[in-house]
Amino acid sequence: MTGLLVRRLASMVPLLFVVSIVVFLLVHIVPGDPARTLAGGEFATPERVQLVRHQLGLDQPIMAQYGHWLGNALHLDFGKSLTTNRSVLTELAERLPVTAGLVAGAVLFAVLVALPAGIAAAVRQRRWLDKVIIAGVSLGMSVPTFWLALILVSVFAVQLKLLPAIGFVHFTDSPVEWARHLLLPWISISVVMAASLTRQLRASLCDALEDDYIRTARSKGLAPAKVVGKHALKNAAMPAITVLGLQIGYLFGGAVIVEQIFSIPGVGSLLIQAVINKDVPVLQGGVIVLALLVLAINFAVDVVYGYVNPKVRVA
Amino acid sequence: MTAISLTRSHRVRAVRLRRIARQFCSHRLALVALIFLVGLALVAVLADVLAPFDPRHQDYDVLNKGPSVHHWLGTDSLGRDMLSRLIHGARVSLLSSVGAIALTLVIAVPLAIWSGYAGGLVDMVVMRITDALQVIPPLVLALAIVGVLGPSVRNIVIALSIIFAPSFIRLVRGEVLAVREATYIEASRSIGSSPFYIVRRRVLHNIASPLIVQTSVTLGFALLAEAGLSFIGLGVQPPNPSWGNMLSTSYASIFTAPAQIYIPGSAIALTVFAFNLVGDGLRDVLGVSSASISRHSL
Repeated sequence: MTGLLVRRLASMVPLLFVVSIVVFLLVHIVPGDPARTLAGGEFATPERVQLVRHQLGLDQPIMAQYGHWLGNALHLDFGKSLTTNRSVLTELAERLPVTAGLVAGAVLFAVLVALPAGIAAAVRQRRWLDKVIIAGVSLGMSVPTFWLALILVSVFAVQLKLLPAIGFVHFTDSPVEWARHLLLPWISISVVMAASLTRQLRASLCDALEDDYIRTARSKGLAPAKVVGKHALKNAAMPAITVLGLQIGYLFGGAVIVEQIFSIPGVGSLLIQAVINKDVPVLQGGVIVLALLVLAINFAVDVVYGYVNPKVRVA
Repeated sequence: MTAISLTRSHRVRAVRLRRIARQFCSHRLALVALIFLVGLALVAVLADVLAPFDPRHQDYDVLNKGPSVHHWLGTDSLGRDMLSRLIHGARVSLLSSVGAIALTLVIAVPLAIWSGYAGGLVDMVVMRITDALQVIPPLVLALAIVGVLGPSVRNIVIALSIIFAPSFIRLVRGEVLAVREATYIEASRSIGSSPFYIVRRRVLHNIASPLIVQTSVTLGFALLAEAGLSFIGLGVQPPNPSWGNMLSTSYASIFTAPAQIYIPGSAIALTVFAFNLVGDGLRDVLGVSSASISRHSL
């Protein structure tokens, strides 16, 4: 098990190296003279252009630039934001907990819906309950998250006036207000997640229920709840966990549009601001940190795998 | 001899196509979705003829009005006809998603075939880049690319094709690796077929089915991503209409005209749903395993 995890960790190193090259090159695909464009285009003063050029190291040969940039990035130093002049890492560190709260709530909602729905559909395969759940899944996977968010705002905030339409309150200031402000974003994000998780869980549970060991478990007189809950679910959980892990990682950046709609000051809003202001250091830092996060979650999924499936531990 | 075998292989192909078409037609929902998409494509092509008004024309006498005899779907906050904007928006939405997929195929398929066929260093480099691109959340990568290139439809197409390329490369390369060692390829090689011929006649033939399914599923996501990026102002620039920026215009007047968000929103949702249904139908008919298809969601 430890050997496997060490190998997994080692395989991330070349991956991160390639990510760093891709991210580094971002500044070089800025059209025209990057320093001038990023300094504000044709209206930028020559001093400002020079400053940006120096700040980004664009006055050095490209290999030296990359070496310098990578050296700093290894210490999580992504330079300073071109607009606020604050350290990119500080900006990101301020916003990550906000997005983490958003993602955690949405994942909780999704799992709470998908677990019973997936099990119910698999157990009642091809009956009407299964058909209803399948229809719900296709519907849930086709509704654009950002449109759902708008509908929820329109119904619950504008018409019924039950919940705030936009804004954010920090958890430390008031947990109740925090949850009230995040309820609509949680629901909008969790619908797609719950749908694809249900789909995955149903599919793998259906497969598992047809295996020989289930017939054995049934024939020795085990209670149906125990057959499904203990034997089938443990085997069916792996693909679902993979899907969940992938989604959590992607959500940290994928919640961009929902964060924008609800004015939540998370990583997504930071990235959108960076795009609007052409703040390349923030974009670079954001992409790297999010990639690191995805890798960390993949690693966590591997650990869970080992826990759920003893076969992996031996390999 | 050649003439005979040619007509015969044509006939075999025609029979196979007819069988696939018949099976697809038995999937009612998928068929309805396909008809919807074809209709939508026609609307997009004929937008100039079909739209009752100029989608950019502002009429300050009818701001945020509901449906009427004159304006079937009402007007937006600048007094522009919603129906006309929806029709012209269909053109932008379909064109950019089809464009993104076309660019993806042009980049990914040759690269994947080369990578899978050549192996060695080429394969390693291509796969490492693919891995790296898949570690970055797709929407963030698209955002970063559009961010540095500047907001426009063209740049969205470029960004989307970069985020789609990895899953296409993976799919095609896997198939190439699988058929490369197959006996019939070896036989073909031994009678002196050129690699180009083998790739065109044998490999492409084998990857066609999964590729078609992956394409139709990804089209839906492309439409969604374009709408999302236009919604936050990075795609089609106003006053030109797209479903995404119509949604953000209608969101701005959510207090005065709360029903407006349903018009562009349901257009996006229905179209994405249709692409997914067609994809699922094709998957069943062509016998592609659902595990080989990678799905995105937004």
